[in-house]
Amino acid sequence: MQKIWRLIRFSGVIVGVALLAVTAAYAANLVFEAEHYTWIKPCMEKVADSKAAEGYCVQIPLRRPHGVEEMAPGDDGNVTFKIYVPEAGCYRLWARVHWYDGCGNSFFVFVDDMDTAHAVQLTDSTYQKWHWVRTRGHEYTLTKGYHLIRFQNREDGAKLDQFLLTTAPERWKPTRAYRETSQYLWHAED
Amino acid sequence: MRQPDRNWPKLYMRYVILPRRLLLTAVVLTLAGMPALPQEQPSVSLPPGLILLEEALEGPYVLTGTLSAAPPAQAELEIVFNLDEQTGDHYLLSIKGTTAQFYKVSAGTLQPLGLSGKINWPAQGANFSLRREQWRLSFICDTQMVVRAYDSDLHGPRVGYAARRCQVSDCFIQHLGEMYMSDDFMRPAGEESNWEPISGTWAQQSLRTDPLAEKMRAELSANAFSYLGKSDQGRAMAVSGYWFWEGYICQAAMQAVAGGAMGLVGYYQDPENYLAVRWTSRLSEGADANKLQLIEVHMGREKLLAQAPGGFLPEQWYQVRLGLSAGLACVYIDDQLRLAARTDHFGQGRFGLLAEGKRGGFFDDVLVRPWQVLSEKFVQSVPGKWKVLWGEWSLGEDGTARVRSAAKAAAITGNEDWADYKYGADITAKSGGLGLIFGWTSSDDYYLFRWADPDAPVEYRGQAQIVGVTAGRSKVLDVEPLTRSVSGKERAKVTIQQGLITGWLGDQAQVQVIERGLPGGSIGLYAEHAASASFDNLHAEELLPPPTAHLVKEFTNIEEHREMAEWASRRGLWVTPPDPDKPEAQWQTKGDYFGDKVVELSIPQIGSVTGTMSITVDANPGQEQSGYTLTIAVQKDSNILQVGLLAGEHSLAEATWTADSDTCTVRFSHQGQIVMAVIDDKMIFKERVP
Repeated sequence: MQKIWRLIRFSGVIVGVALLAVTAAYAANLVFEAEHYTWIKPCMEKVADSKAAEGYCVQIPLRRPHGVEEMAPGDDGNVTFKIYVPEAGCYRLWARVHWYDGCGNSFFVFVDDMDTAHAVQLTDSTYQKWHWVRTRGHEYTLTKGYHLIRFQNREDGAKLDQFLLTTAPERWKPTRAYRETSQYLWHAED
Repeated sequence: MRQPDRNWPKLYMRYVILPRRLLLTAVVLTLAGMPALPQEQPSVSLPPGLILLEEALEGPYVLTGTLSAAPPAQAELEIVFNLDEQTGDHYLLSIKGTTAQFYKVSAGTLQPLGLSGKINWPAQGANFSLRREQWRLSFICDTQMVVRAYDSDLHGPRVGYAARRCQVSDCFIQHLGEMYMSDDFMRPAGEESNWEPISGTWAQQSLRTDPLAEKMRAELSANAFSYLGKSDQGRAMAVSGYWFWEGYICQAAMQAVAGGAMGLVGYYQDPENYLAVRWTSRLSEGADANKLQLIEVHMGREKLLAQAPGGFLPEQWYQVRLGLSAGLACVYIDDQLRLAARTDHFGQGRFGLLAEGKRGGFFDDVLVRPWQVLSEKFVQSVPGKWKVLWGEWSLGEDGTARVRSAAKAAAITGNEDWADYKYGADITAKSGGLGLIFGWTSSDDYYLFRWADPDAPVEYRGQAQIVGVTAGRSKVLDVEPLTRSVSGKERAKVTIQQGLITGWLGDQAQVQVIERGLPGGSIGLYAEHAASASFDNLHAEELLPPPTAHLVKEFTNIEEHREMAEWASRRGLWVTPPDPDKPEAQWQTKGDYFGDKVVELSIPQIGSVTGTMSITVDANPGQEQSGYTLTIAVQKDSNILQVGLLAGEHSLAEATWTADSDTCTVRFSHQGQIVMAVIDDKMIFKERVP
């Protein structure tokens, strides 16, 4: 009889495990809110925006007159994030941005390497709409551990709401605001 | 002979206590270790061997991956999606052999959704996509639309699949969001862009080599940035967007340099699978000259879906638009619908530009945005697509939906999230009350455009009305006497745009009301004491936001670059009047605007200055006293606005408006036969004009 009880209990456990079997068919996304930066340098500033996730974003404020003369950025205002990458891998970087117009539609992006000669330009031609843009042609091989990500002034009128690093399949694209993975964001008071 | 056992305690233990213990043990095991069962055992269980994906569903999405089966006759695939593990409710796509069918499992019962379809199993791995949008379900395999269904009730967060004698791999969930992309090509050559050239040569142009560019006649030109595509052989294509885009409209301005062809690409999968709008020159001499074509390229084979005569003139700019929704493709040239056709291939895909010829063509002002269409010809009954609210309905042999009951009858379909749309149907009736339902979210919350002939036994006989039902309470929002007879066949239509609801019979606007915050929801058909009324050719289409001109006159310092002044500054779309510094100078737009017009603006800082502003529509070029004009006069230190409406020089109406704050929004429109002025969503004037 005791053997029977043991058999029943064992079977119950096996059935339970089988019904709960899932596959992790999705790769890690690290999502960060721009206004939760680690460091900020003017002229980059945090502002409220009702259409940004959580109601805030960062921006290079519009300079008047805007777009009349093409010149280098007035300063190197930026937001920098110290993030923890939990798993080494090859990551693509996407940013949720809002461009003012053709003269206010870009940031410089730095990943670990802060040499301006290696800055990557983040840009496209969709204006006056929050949307996701990727640093085209760039994938970042990140080790497990801390890394620095910086978005820097290139043109006035550019806004940043969120950015994410992903190892999802190439076919996967971000299409909406996502929940932040704040546990991977470092702050000085941590 | 064995004597019966009379040891009653022993018997009691064996036949009473022990079974109870067994039962008790089973219950304990269930509670302690086994998964909890729902209180009532469902009659439909989940497929055996179901593998659930870790990621939770949220909103519309595509489940995609790679699928293969060899041989296909025995293959079985079941995809469970929007599963609520508490209730067991879910949708099911069941594929057995070559037959695919959607089902809904709700409260333990299984009901089919939509019609079944046939699948051609790929022997090699091919992409599949299961799409769940607002109320549309579809399954695409290897560029073929396999099966569609319609339902919006279930929203559980889990998805999974069970595969037998077939292989599924690389599954992931692509959540869907807003589709939008624009490009005015204002960037230096060589700068990165969203475009992926597939064939031919494509290059950014910062100056066009055309006669107008040399003449520097800025009032006839827009900016000089464009995208040039050309091909020595075959088709030049450049694509953008994402593989999962569906329900969109893409448009571009294009100008051919010489002959050849130009157009747009939609539902792009790869160089051998896409839809193309191909437009040829009026002046060419080839067999396909002077034609507008909608072509399907599937597995490298071309098929002409639709064609119309009429080609382009070289060196002339046109706007070409391709709308794709649920397999319906519509082609517009300069806002005129020219072609429409259906396809059962692709179901989703990227968009792009197309050019043929050595000299190719210029492209500019590309725009892509969401666009949904609901089209119904009542050819056959599709389970789940329509819901009968009241009365009895049937499908007529002539392909119509017929009312069979004498009293109230209504049926609804769709559940779109759109804000601005138009929706119409052909209605044939001898008498009675008829109507179109829209914004339906429940039986207690919906809107109704209804009308009835003068003899109808309904309270609104001889009238057209827009009725709003909120929390079960009905309110007539607008009412007008009918302006035409309604017996026989009539095309009825409702348009909802930026809060303005208009009910039309034929091409005559009957009623109009402003109603902000109108929900999306379902649309439907309505009849009251109109037995034998029939409905056909239902078509609902999301309306594109009307093209907007720049909103303010803002001038920049153009001393150093005068040639850029007319288009680089905000003044680019306005003709400079003879004396621009005169206070009453009228600035007219460079372009002509046909059809319905709406002008919206804000008046800030009311009370800070004294002055008068005027907005004119339908003006003749150069004639200031023409068209319809709305005048608004304000006084310093006052929140009272004096508002007037003129037709040419003649006053139509006057009113006074008291602003609640120091800013107000003004909306001035001429739509159909109605000129309307609205301030802060309050109607000031509504005049019927010729």
